[in-house]
Amino acid sequence: MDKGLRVDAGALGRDGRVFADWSGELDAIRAALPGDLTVADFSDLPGAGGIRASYHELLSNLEAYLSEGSREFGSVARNLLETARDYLATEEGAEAEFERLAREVNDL
Amino acid sequence: MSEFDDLRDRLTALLERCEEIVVTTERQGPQLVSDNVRRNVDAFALNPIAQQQLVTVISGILDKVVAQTRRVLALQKSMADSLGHPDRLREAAAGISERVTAASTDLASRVHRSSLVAIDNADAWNGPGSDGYANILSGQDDAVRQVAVVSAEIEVLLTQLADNIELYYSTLYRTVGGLYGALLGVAGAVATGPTGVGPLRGIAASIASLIDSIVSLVEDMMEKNGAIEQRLRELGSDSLDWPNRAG
Repeated sequence: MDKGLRVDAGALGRDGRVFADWSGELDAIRAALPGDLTVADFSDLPGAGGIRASYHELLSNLEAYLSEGSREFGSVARNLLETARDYLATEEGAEAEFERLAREVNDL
Repeated sequence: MSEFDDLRDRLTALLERCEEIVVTTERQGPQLVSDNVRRNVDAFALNPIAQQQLVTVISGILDKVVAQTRRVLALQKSMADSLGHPDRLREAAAGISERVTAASTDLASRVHRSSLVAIDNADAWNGPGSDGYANILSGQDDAVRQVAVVSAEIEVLLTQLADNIELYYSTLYRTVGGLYGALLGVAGAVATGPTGVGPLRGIAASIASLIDSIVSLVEDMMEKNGAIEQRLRELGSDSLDWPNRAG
């Protein structure tokens, strides 16, 4: 390793797992959005369809936004775990930790 | 059973009672009018021609009352079946509150550098990519918080809609009660024979006014629904773009 270059692969791995957890939390929030409200729940009277359509459109936008956030956090998690794995690949005696991180990257 | 379920059951029962009275009036009304005019005719000293004319006049008013009642009942039944379900909307709002607004607020509070050892500790990483990583959190907590902002508004709008629907049901119940009261008056008016003409005309007018009440209810509903729809549209058109940092 170059002089002055400091990499705590364990710290990067931990941060990667934090981002992976956050990504999962955003997925859980997205799954909790109540998209099952029906025509009968809102109102079936003429003119009331606008509320239903606007609600579902907004929910769809929010779902897309949460998916984007989850992908973003997942991407950071992957980058951190891959970086940690790559540094560990150059260190002697870190094979076990390298293998573990490699598996985690694959599981993301 | 929720308050709304109870209200809806009472509304349905009252509509059924109104329907039964209408059916009975249609079936027995003409004969009752004729019998009661004949029974009371001595007091008015009417000849048979005048007596028949009176039966025709009262029967005509009764037909009008029944026709108006049918129109009002059809409107009321249609609304009772179609106004919406406030309990389901409130249930959805509560779910959003707990599993979306609260969860995203909590997550936003944790999306912070203190949660991340390699960002919070400069000694952990100063290799290639570390500068980018130090800035990666910028705006991410706000991006998560934006979910809570939008979902909290959805909660409010769903609750408002639920409150409005419940209010419409209460108002509808009152108009059905008005119709029921008017229909009870029909039997009394018919029973009095010739003197029932005036009361029957009054009942016809009061039933006709129920249509105005229902139209007002629908207009009010459309106005309030329009405001809720507008706000949902505004929220939907607000920019929801996640800040991309990871590349």
